[in-house]
Parts: sequence; structure tokens; C-alpha cells
Amino acid sequence: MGPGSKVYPAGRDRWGQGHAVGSFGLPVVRRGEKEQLMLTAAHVVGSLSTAHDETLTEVLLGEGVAVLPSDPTIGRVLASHPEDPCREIEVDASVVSAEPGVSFNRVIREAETSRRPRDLNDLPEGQDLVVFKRGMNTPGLTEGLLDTTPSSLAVELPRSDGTAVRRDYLRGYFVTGTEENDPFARQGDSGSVVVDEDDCVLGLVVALRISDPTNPHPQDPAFVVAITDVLEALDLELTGPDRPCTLC
Amino acid sequence: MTRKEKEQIRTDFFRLHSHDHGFASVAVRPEKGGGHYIDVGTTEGLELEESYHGLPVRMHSVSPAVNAVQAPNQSA
Repeated sequence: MGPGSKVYPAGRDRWGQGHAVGSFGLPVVRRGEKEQLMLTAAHVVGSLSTAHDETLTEVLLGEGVAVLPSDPTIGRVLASHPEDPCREIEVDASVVSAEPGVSFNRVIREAETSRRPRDLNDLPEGQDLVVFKRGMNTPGLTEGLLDTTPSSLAVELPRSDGTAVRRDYLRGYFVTGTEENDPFARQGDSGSVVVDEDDCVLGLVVALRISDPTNPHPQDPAFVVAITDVLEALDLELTGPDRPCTLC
Repeated sequence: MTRKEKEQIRTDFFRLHSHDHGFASVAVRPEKGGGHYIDVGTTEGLELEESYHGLPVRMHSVSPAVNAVQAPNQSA
């Protein structure tokens, strides 16, 4: 499996519904360790997902268009940031162990991603940066322009019982797609990572602004959190070739 | 204005208004002629102060935001 694979929690939510699906981001390791782990968003499989209400921590790989009982278990949630559901969100990320036999690639465009992250919080503000992401939705790989000015974003999530959950993301960045027919990200692309033209990792997709949920507009922006914030919060490192980011 | 000062103003303003109906996002952006302003995204009618910490507050209409997950029974 690799970036953009469909992932979701095992079991059912408190209303008896299957859990929502998202995207696998990238393999990572704990700082100073070698065991390969999986990175995705906490609202896909971890503390901010509907699976957090349950005792199951298994993560499944979606192999077809629909989720199936035969979908394999690929790992278990080890840690999330935040640890428990809360309104004010700094990171929104989970790290997942890998079951024996599960292996990963880290190709988002054509080359493997660098193990050196690019810190969005250090970039000059007010610029547009060419970026890419690979998520579970067709066409998988998309291109966009990331606005380097940090923003705070409120997200409201309707639940099956008619209530709504509000999440306040304190810091992130908007990315607008540059392709004629496809937005940068769609529903299901949460957890996918964003890279620059040097294949240096910049961020993790967590949210979208959607004008019409049934008919996404190419200009609907995605919202990403900085990968450096994710790595620091969960004490992780990227893996891959030790290649400098020439665009820095 | 330093990056840290802008970060502080943005997060303070966000916390101040995040419970307001229609308040969606905020950023501190540079003015073309120099200085900065507070750029607020709103999903529907919202009235805010005209300035905050000496920075003008400007609003524009945006679409609602959701987490980018997909219901499991939908086709990908």
C-alpha cells in the first residue's frame, strides 16, 4: 500500500453505521526508531473519529469501491493528537502500527518523498506555492497552489443523530486546485500528505470548503496542517532518501 | 509586525469569535500599501467590530468547511 490508499476504522459507530473512510498519508517512524508506522488524520481513524467511541483500534484497508467485510486489517492506532476529542485542534493526526506483512511505498508523484520535511511555518507569507497530493479519490494525484499565509478554520460536522460537532483548527493553510475539472481534494482525501515540487512533505489534508457537497467545484479549497507540527506533536520522523529541499 | 505577533492576533481573534454563528475562518494578511488587515471568512450574515488591535477587519463570504472524510457506502 502507499499514499492515497483508502483506510478506515473497523467496527460500527454508536448509531450502527460504518465509519467514514479517508486516505493513508505516508510511512513514518518514531524518532530514533526503525519500525515503519502509518500516518493519517485523527478524524479518519483516531481520537477525532467516530471509532474513538468504541474499544476497537483496528484500521482496515479499503480494497474496492465500497467497503467490504473482507477488507484486511493493516494495523492499529497507536497514538493521536489530540489524545481525546476536543474542540480546539492543533494537529489532527494519528499514527498506526503495521500488521506483519504490510509494506509501504512513499511515492506521491514519481520519486520517493524526502525524509527532510519542509516547514510551512517558516515560509514567507502571502505567496502561492505549487504543491501536490495523492488521495483515495480519482484522479489520485492532484496539483494546487498553497497560500503560505496561515489561517484558523472552524469546521462543523453534522452527526447521524442530528447534532453537530464543531472543530476549531488553530493553524493551517488553504490549497486551491489548479486543474480544470478537479478540486485539490475531495471528501475521503483526509489524511493524504501534501508535497512540493521537490517531493518534500509540507502538510496533511484535514478539511475542505465545499460549495455543493454533491458537486464539488474545482476551486473548493482544501485545508492542511503543517507536517512539522504533526511530526513534533507525535514525536515522529519521515523516512526516505535524505534529500535536501532545493526550493527552501 | 512579527510572525509571532500576527499569530497571536489571529488566534486571539479566532477564539473570541469562534462561537459566533457564521464565523468560519480568519487570517492576518498584508495590505497592498503596507500594514496588515484581518481577513474573516463568513458563511452567512455576521457583524463584527471594524478593527481589532488597530488592524481593520474585513469580511468575505465563504462556503462551509467539513472534515474531508467520505461516508463508507459512497462510491469513491
